[in-house]
Amino acid sequence: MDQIGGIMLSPNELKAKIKRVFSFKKYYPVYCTAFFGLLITSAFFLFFVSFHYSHEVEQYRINTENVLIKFKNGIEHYTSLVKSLSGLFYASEYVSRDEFREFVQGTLIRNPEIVSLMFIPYVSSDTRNEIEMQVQEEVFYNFFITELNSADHLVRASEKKVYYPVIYVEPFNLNKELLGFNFAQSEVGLQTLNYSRDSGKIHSMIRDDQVRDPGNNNRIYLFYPIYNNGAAIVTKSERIKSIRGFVSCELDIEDLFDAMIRDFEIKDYYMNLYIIKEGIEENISRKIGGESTSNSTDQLNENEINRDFLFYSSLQIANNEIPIELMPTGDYYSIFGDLTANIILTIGILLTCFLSWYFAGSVNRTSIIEKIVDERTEELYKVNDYLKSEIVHRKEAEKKIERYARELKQRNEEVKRFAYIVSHDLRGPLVNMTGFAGELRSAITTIENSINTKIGDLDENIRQDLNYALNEDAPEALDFIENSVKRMEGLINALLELSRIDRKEIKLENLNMTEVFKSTLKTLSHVIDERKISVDLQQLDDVQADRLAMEQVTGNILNNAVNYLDPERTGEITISSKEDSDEIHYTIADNGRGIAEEDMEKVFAPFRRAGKQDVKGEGMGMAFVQSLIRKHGGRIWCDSKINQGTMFTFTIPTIVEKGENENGRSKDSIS
Amino acid sequence: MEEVKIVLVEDDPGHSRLIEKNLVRSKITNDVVKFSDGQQAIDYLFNENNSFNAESGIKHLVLLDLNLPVVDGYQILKRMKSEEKTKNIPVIILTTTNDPREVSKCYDLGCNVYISKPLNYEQFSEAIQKLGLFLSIVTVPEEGKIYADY
Repeated sequence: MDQIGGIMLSPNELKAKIKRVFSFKKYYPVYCTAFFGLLITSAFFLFFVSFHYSHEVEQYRINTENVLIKFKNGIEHYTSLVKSLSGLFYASEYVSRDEFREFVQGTLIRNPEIVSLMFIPYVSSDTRNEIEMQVQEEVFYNFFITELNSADHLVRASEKKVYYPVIYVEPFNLNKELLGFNFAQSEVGLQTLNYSRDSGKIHSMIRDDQVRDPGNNNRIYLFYPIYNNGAAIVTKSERIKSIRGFVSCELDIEDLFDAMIRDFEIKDYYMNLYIIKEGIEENISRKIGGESTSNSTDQLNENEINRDFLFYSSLQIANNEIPIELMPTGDYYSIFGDLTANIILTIGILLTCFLSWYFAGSVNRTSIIEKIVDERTEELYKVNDYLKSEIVHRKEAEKKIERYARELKQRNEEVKRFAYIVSHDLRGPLVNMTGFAGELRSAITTIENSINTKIGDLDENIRQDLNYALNEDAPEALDFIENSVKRMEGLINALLELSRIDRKEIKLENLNMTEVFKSTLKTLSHVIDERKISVDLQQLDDVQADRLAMEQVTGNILNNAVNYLDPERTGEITISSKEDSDEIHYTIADNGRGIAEEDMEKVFAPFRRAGKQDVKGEGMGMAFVQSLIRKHGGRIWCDSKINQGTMFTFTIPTIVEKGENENGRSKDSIS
Repeated sequence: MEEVKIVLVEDDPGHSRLIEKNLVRSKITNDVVKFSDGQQAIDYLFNENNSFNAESGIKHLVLLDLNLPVVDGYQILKRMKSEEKTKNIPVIILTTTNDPREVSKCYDLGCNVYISKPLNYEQFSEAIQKLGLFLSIVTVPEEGKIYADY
């Protein structure tokens, strides 16, 4: 039992379960709204973000290109600067140190990023001593063409075919170590200078500052060749033949870039420069914009780099190419820092919440309505139950009524049967009474006849007594017996008649009631004439009724009216009729002796007679009348005042129930 | 005629006596067998051992009242007319009521004559005497009907 109980749900549990499932279904719109609301919000958010993102990428690319253009322009600025410096040397055969200093002074002030500006003449092994002496005489007594030894110390240059030493350098105080340094010492330097000489164009060289601060600073050297005035410098050999020297601009790469990006509008960039110096790549990192410009402190972690924003390019500086990598800093772009996206996200979530709340509310309202509906339904069920029980009660009541009706019918039958049996059985003794009375009479006759022959022999007194007994007493007694029997027979017949009336079927036909009354009055005419009774028979409404019954009814009523008149005044009888809604009222009024109040109830009762018993009868007349009227579905009543008169009114319905209506044929037969 | 035995079934001894008297008065001398209730009549009429059968040569005529104790007149009449042995016995209903329904019912059941007992003694004795006259001229047939010459 326990196991079964465990498996099976009790009705309440089942109800609860159904309710849970039902309530999930009920809140389904809310869940849907929340789900789709968040879905749409995130879709909008992502769309906007990705749109914004690609827009940013594009913007970044454009910005980057602008950066590069600026860089390019910056580089051109320095190349043109070098070129203009060469103009100084083309202007005269000889340029003095002071002339050179004066010429570059303004330039150096405007461009502090320039490390130095130099004049580097072409010196062959033949002219080396001459040049060294000339400089020693003019300015520096300890001047030599120098080069770096293996320990990176400046020493007098060894014997070379060609020297490219620095003769003028400005600003001199910061760069005096460079004076006399032979750029042609290194293979790279010689090659660069030779390329420049051979092409007549600016060539650049990237290398550390080996002389002043060795191995520390990245320097770029721009070399521009100067040829002898008036020399043909079209071909390479002509250029080699007529080379006079180079003007050079030395720049610190980091300072150069710092200078170039100083006034940039774009911000929060990282810039990586990849500098290849003598086959070794070196990385310089710069943050554009922001506060910090220090080297490598803001270096991005490799993982943090957003590859979408990684931009590669290169900066061409004469023959040297500096690869550049540009990328935004962490501050540059943040998805969640974007206001519009956040606004969209916020609005979306709020809207979702609101809609969910609204739907939940509407669901609640719905459930309130459902609850009300449930309550109403409950009430209806109650009313229904009540009505059902009411119907049951009604049915019971109907059954009761039916039973009562049946019982009543049965009782009625019994009463009728009783009346019949009584009347039948009552006759038995009467037969004996009359029979034996008759026997007695014949016995007396026999006695008389027998005695008459011997009567003379008897004593006078005895004869008189005998005579009296036989001729007076006995016949008188027998008369009383026989009268009583007759009276009893009358009563019994009346009773029998009454029970027969109930059984008798009435036959409806169209009756001219005026004629019916007329013929009844005719049978009473001798009494009416004798007593000088005035009868007012008005024109009466016709009706459908049983002819014999109506004759009996009118006979009885009129008989009573005639018989119970007040002998002290002239009798007056008025017969009238009146049509009511569905019945006709017939009224027979007389000015007779009337019926006393206390006698009114006897009027229609069988065997009861009201008032003075001076008229023969069994007291059954009005009982018959009532019975007959009732059989027609009508009513009869009596209004009377003692010593003033009596008024009988009976009604016959004009609407006959179909079941009883057989008058159609009768009507035809009459017409 | 001598062979006809009258069976009088009447519960009221007064009636019975009056009927006898009047029969005698009208010179009917047949044997009268009287029964005061229906059962006795049934026992007599349907007893195999009594002399009441066709072979004995004794004919019967039944004067029957309707209201009888134990078994009423209708039942006796019905049974008599439904059995082969008794259906040819003439039955005269002699009763107090003259209700038309009763009368027709009795004729339907097969009674031969229906006489009501009038309360007037002259009429009553007249009726009985007429009956006596009737019986004196009647021949009880082998089958069914009573033939009267008048």
